[in-house]
Amino acid sequence: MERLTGWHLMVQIRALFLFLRKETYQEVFQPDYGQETAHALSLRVFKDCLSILFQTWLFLDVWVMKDYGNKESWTRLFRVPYWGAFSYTYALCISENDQILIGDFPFVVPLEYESRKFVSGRLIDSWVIISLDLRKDSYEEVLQPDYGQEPAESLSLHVFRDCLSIISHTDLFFDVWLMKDYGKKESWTKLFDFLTCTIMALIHFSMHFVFLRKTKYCWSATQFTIQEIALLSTARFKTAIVLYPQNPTMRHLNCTTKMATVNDHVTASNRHIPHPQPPLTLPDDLIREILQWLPMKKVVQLCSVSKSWKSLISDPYFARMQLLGSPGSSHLILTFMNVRHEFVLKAYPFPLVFDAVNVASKLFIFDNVAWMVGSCDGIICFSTKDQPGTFVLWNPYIGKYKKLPRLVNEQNQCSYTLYGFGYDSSAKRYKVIGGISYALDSFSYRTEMKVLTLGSDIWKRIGDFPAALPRNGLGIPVRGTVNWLSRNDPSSWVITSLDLQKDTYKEVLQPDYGRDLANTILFLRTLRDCLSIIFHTGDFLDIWIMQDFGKKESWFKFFRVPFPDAQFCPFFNALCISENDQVLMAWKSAFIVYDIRSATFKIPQIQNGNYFLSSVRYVESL
Amino acid sequence: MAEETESTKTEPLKTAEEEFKKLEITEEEESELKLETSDHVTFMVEASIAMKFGAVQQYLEVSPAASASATAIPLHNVASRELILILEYYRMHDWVDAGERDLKEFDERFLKDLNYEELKELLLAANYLNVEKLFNFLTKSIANIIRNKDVEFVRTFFGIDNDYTPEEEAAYREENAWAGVKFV
Repeated sequence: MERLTGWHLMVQIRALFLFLRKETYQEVFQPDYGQETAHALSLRVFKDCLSILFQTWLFLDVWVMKDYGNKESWTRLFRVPYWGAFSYTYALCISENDQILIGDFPFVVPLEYESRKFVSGRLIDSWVIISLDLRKDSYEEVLQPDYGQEPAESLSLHVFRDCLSIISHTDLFFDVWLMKDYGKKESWTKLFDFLTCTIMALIHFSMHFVFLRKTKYCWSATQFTIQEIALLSTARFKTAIVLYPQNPTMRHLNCTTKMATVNDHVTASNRHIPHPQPPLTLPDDLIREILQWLPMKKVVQLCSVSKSWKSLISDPYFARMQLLGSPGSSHLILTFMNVRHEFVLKAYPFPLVFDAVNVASKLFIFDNVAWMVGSCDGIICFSTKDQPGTFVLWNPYIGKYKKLPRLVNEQNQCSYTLYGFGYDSSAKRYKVIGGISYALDSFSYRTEMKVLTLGSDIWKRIGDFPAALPRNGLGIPVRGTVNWLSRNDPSSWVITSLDLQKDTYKEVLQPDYGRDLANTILFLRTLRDCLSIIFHTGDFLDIWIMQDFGKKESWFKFFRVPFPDAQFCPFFNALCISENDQVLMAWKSAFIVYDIRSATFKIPQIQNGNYFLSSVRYVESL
Repeated sequence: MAEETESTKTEPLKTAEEEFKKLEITEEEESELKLETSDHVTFMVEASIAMKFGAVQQYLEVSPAASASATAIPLHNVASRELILILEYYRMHDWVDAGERDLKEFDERFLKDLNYEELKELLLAANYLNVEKLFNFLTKSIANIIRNKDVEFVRTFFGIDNDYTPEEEAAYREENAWAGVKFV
């Protein structure tokens, strides 16, 4: 079997992506899915095989191509039916964890570790128990017992007496099933059952997880009797009174609380078995208090719990307890592409990013983002993988997305070349800029520029881009403008600035570098909130900062990073400068910090194996 | 301005402390307060612990006589079994000899012995009693429980009915699913 690794894999997956979308590329044949049509397909790599997750509204199939490229080798690993519309994310999670870490298989019950079998079940309408045989690396369904007439309300998997066990629960009964001979359906035996209503108060059966613990108590008891279960399940109240269901006498366990002794009688009378109650609901403010401990992404997901939760979470009060800390706090955002071709975004709290130790970051992985266009006033703009010209805005602070209308090109022979994202403070509007270039003849081309003002949803045509195409099409936003640096010829560079208020271009005059521009590379950045030029020769790197935007005389040389040996030379991309004059520089996936005051280099902790794409300084706002 | 608000904030605490001191002086043993739960069980609770309850402090501010007299302080929204647990928690956390590891172990055991309904009941009680430490502990614990669970679990946990129509649900998912963000 061909092992798929590294670039090869990425390229192939990409090809397949195109295939799935456009049905034009024919590199990889897909399996015969059967009659159902999927609402979503996604690609994974399991066990070094290309895999497809085939999702319909009813179930999820996992297909694996065992022999890469061979259509015949597609096999369906398993099918997971859904319960409720949202559980598919969980199924993805199963699959992924299966690949990465088998121990994280949800609800995993390590059964007979010697035989290397793992079994998992899911809380679904039509119950399926999937067992993963680690020796064969194959999944199979474990057949379930005939539960009888009552449909089970919930099931849970356990291991009792070294056998796979199911606890099924219906309105009336609470059954414990044991599969004495693993894999044989006929070996299922009902160990015992009892009427739930007798001990309802003690077992809140609506939560099937609760059973797990309860039955562990059962398990520890040598004999399964109703009395003992009742006894053990209330044993958690060390100071409480236990009521035998059949013979309502009181028994006092390990009483440590003074008052409990005094009030034996009263407490006992209060512990008569109440009627089963619907789950307790909590008031909104308590729910808010609970949710504040969760990461914002989880909280945003929970909007789908109910409408009231959505409004609760969208509430500005809640918005204050946000993803990346408090408003005004500043982060450095670095974006990468990982080996699985996913877009990875890391946010580092700003001053800490320079440190050598204990740098905590927030990590986000986006499936559908191609790269970051830019960040401005608390909003990050991404380009998506969908089609060229599709953008999404993300406010990490409140965790909201906004998909923008597509920038469509009318011309056939053209390409998307320029991008920009900025904030027009006079109109208080964010603007996204996109440029499309097309050839006029074999020597010339023009670049049509369009601007989308947030809220208008129309890409408005503005004047064509007046200069040569910049090498880096991502514009640098500075004070209501977006700036590009292009090279006219080997020794002359031009900075073109687009005024977002007037939609007009202007050239920004450059400083006198004091040196011939041949054999140099220039980069445009924002450092310390000012437009900056990184002037890189083989021997040193100068950082110029324009303190007063638009005024040539305000350029000054902030500092020079000497390159005493060739080792540091490629670090030409200065990302940010700290208050105490340290500058973070990147080259490919490596990072280095240069301390201007002591003129020394140091290695920060943020090294990363993934391919570095871009960075931006991000300051939160609402 | 800032000073003013500060002084008003500390005042209740001060009075509570004074009350506490008075109690210490007047009684030879550690003084106890009488608390009555919603199911009419009276508890004699060490004042040092009872005074940690915001609700008790508040009550004593309004009627300071209750501390010395035999009148029980009513706790309308707390049942006896919840109060037993709360007291257990605070006794452990107040215990001078308890090391960090002991407390951690205790917390784990404490949680393990509660089912989800009890957890919620206890949270409501802790909220009513205004006991900050336990309240934070409980909210954090519940957050940990739901952290890696799906929406359906959360609905069941909090007893919430899904009031989205299937269409709305699909639309909502559409709106949010584009990025497929994984937060690690």
